[in-house]
Amino acid sequence: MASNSVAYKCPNCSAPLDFKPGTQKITCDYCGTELDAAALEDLFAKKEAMAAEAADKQDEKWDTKVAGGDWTAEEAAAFKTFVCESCGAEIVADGNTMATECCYCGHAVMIPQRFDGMLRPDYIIPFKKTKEEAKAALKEFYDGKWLLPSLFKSQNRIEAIQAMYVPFWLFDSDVDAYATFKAEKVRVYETSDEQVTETSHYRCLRSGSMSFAKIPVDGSEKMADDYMESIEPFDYSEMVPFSNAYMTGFLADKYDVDAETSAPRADTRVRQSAIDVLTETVEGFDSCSCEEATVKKQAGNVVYAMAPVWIVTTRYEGQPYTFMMNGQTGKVVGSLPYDQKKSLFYAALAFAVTLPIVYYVAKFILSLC
Amino acid sequence: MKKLMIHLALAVVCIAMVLGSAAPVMAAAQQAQVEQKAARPAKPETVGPVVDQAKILTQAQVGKLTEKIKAVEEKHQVKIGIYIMQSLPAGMVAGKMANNVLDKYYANGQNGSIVLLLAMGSRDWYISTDNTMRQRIVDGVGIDGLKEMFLEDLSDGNYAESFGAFVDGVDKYLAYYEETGEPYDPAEEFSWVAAVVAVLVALVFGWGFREYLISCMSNVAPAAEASAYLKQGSFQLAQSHDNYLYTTVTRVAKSKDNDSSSSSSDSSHGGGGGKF
Repeated sequence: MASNSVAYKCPNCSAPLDFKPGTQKITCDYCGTELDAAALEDLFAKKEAMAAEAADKQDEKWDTKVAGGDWTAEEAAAFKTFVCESCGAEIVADGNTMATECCYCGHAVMIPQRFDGMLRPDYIIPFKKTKEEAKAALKEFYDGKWLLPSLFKSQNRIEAIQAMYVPFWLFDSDVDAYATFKAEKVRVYETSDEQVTETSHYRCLRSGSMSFAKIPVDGSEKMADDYMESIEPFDYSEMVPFSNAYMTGFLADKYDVDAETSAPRADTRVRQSAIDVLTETVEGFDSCSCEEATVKKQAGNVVYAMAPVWIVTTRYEGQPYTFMMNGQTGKVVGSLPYDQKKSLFYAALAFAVTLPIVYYVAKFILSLC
Repeated sequence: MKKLMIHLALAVVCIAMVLGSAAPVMAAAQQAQVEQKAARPAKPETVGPVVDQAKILTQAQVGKLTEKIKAVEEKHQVKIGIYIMQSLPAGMVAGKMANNVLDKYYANGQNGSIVLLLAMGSRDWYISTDNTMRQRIVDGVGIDGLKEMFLEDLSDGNYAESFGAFVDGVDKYLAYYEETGEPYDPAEEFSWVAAVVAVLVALVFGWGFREYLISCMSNVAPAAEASAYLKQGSFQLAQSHDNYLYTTVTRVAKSKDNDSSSSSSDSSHGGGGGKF
């Protein structure tokens, strides 16, 4: 005998619901949630329609072929590459630059080689911050760090700061986003002998489209992604078409992660931001959480750009420490070493200050019980 | 015969005159005696330290408790009474009754007097103190601290243990006062529970503060989103549906206020009481 039931999942516990069309209320056999049949039918109809629409749209691929161009013979002749014997980093500089040490590992010897071709950048963000400004910003970065070892500051070779153009892929994308949210409205009221909390549960469906412009992802494997993302943002209004004139006197890193490989990093960030944008449209509820989301890229474009970064690599107790400054905005990022003894001293100080306060507060609370 | 009659008449007149002149003097003397008696503190009627009208204690328990009370009385030169009634007189509150019992049976302790009165019918308890004892066992924190020592046993029906704890408490409070010159305040006593809580919280705070300082040493963090690169005005909301699913209701019973503390303190009595 053919069954006339339709299988749905309970919105509360995801258990299968035995929904008989024509009935008004459905009760989940597993969690006991009572649902309005009409509302459930409507919810799943909209959800199915949205899923079908999302499935129809294909996720476009990034158009990475347009990123970068070819060097002219003159430009190619003006550059030289340096390969660090210590860490293997391949760095590009104009013919006049004599690097004295590797900006990644601080190794002193580098051998000039013939420039080997690479994609010509589309854009470049010129350096705005001078070496003096970079040094001042780094000194300021050290200030107020209670756990900074005294020796680190006194022995730090801040003079060894170097300017470098870092390769970045800039991703443009238009996306369609679909998401369902679980939302709640809470009403609390009191009767003469009870406090009553009524929680109304809703399922909210949202879809929309949006565009992102120039999401930067660094194209250098040696540059840690988290460092490069930490010095964001860059002011793209000052970005200009690439000219090798801007490279004079600066080192430049040669990209070793192509746009195709860098794209997932941009996709992850776009997806999260798209969900955030849709979440902001779920209004009038006391709480809201995303249950599921689909983000489809409708168009994606990539350009290749060089971004200015000041870099200091120094060593302390055998460990390398790298600090970077956005050469355009002056934002400094880095991880400083900390003094274990100082950290334990401050922990003990906090313990000693907190102990009597908490003791008397706890004693007072206990006396009220 | 006539002479005899005259002598008798004279004698009667003389007696009458003597009595007439002596009456005001006697009345005045009587009045003075009453006034003198009123001016002197009333001498309390004599009862034992434990009066058990409700018969909740055995003779052995009364004897043991009496011994204990007498020892404490002698040690601190005070008067202690435990007065157990079946029920309070009509219209009388426990505090007032306890004050009356103290004045009637336990007044004039050299270093003060204290009475614990119980009314079994209405399950009232009340501690009454005179002004001297009030300096040693103060109203409020002092009585509350004393209450904590015996009330649980009292509520559980462990009467002998409860009264023993009351006497021990009085002993402890008085000993503290004699040693320090200050009334005992339980709030000033070292609390192991509060100490353990404080050590744990302070450890977590100290370690958390250390972790915070360590985290300040680095500002490197991966970017999880790209909201800074969203084109202004590019967002178009295509669909927006809110579907009501169901409502859950939770009910929490309000806590009843069980604090039935009462006080019948006046200018010559202190103390406090409640229900057990």
